[in-house]
Amino acid sequence: MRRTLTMLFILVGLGLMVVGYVSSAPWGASSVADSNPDFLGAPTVFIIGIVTVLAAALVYELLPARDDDRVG
Amino acid sequence: MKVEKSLPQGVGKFTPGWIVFIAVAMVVLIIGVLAYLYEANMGLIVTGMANIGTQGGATWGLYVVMVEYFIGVSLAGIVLVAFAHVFDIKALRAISRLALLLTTCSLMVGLLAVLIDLGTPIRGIINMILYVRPQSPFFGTFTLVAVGVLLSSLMYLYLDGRRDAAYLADIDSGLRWYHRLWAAGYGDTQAEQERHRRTMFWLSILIVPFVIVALSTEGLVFGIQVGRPGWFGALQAPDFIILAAASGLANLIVLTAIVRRVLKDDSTLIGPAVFKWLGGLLLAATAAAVYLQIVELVTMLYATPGNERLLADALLRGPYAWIFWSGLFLVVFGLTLLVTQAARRQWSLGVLIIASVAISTSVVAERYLTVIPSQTHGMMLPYEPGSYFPTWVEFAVVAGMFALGALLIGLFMKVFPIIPLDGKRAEQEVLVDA
Repeated sequence: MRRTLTMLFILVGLGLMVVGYVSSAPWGASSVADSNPDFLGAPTVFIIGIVTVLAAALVYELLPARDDDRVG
Repeated sequence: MKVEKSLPQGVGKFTPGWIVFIAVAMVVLIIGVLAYLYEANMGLIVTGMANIGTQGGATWGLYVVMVEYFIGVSLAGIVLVAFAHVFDIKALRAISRLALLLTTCSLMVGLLAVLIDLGTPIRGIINMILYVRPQSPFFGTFTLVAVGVLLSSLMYLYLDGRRDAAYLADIDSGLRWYHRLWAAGYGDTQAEQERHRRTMFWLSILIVPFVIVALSTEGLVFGIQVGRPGWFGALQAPDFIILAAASGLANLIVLTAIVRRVLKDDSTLIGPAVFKWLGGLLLAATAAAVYLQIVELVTMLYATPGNERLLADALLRGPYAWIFWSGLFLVVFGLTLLVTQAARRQWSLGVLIIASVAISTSVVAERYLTVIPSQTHGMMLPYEPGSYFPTWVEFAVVAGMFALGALLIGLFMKVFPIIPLDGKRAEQEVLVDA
């Protein structure tokens, strides 16, 4: 459960980072008119992605253990 | 006979010296806040900043110099701690929390300097979260540095302190609720210790490249500006990182020495091995910084195009010469002291502090010379050379930033042990006659 949730946080975070990054402004666009993000607040999605990836460490360490003798 | 446990390392004890320190820092901070409010009310006209070219000034002034300086200082602490975790360097364990605290506080102050420089910070923040473009290095500043590095250093600080917090939560004190909150149910079982070790290891592996990439964007802010002589170049990012390492380590040495003195009875917890490590690392970082400066200088002087020549003259013989040569003298002086110490294999704390102060001051000079002269003397358009000198408002605001950083560190030391307790050392018992 702990590992699954941690991995989920990492993967979702990375996904959000990719979406936020590529949507923040189109790469290779030659016109200034294309300089706005694909959707408003796309950079925020990137930021939320960073926070989610880092939060994986908190999830891994802070999630209460059902049986504390087990390591994992 | 009755045994009472008290909070270690002066936590929760407000000595006269500490109260005076906090009072002085508060006064300087209030002066800084008042100066900023004055600037916010009157506009940037009360600063020394002015438009480039048309007004013969610089639009990035002392605040941006301090952004570069403080964010640079933050690098060393977190990288050092990550390095110590990955390679299990026990000698550096004693200063790990102090290093992380330096990282966190200098980052907060550095990012505050960004907002202060904006003039209308609220509009800046809103536009940043809505529109900031990844093609701009500022994207890295606002996302990777402001969120990523700050959050990871805070998280590192938090997770690494849970074990000590759990110990402190068992001591009857007014801060018990706070320590319980921090411990978040930590029971110091074998499973929790193992999980913590794993988390710290992987976090450390992740943090080093992440921090390097994030902070490189600070150098790229200048390095990719083609139209600004003195800024455009591939060395800006590595130069920023190397100078950041040097200034961060120098500040960490001074801070460690101060903490060691303040702790009195607990000063032995910070042994000579810590300063030997820090001194050696500072020597390496400073030597690399001097090498990069020489390379830049040689490039600047060799068959320089017209605009670059104007800038080189301003730096070497013109209005910025006193800063340039003073900075160079200080860094060479600091490096010489460090080399002498290393050659003797004896690290004197006094000499190390002098070298650190000299190197840190030289980095401020270097940051100033990176930011300012290219705006006043690095023009491609046919404007006359300009000038910039900070006003009292800017100096007061910057003094307030330093005071804020000192205040945060001072306050932290009264609510949590600055040196990790690591189990057995935690036991500080006061024997009181029953």
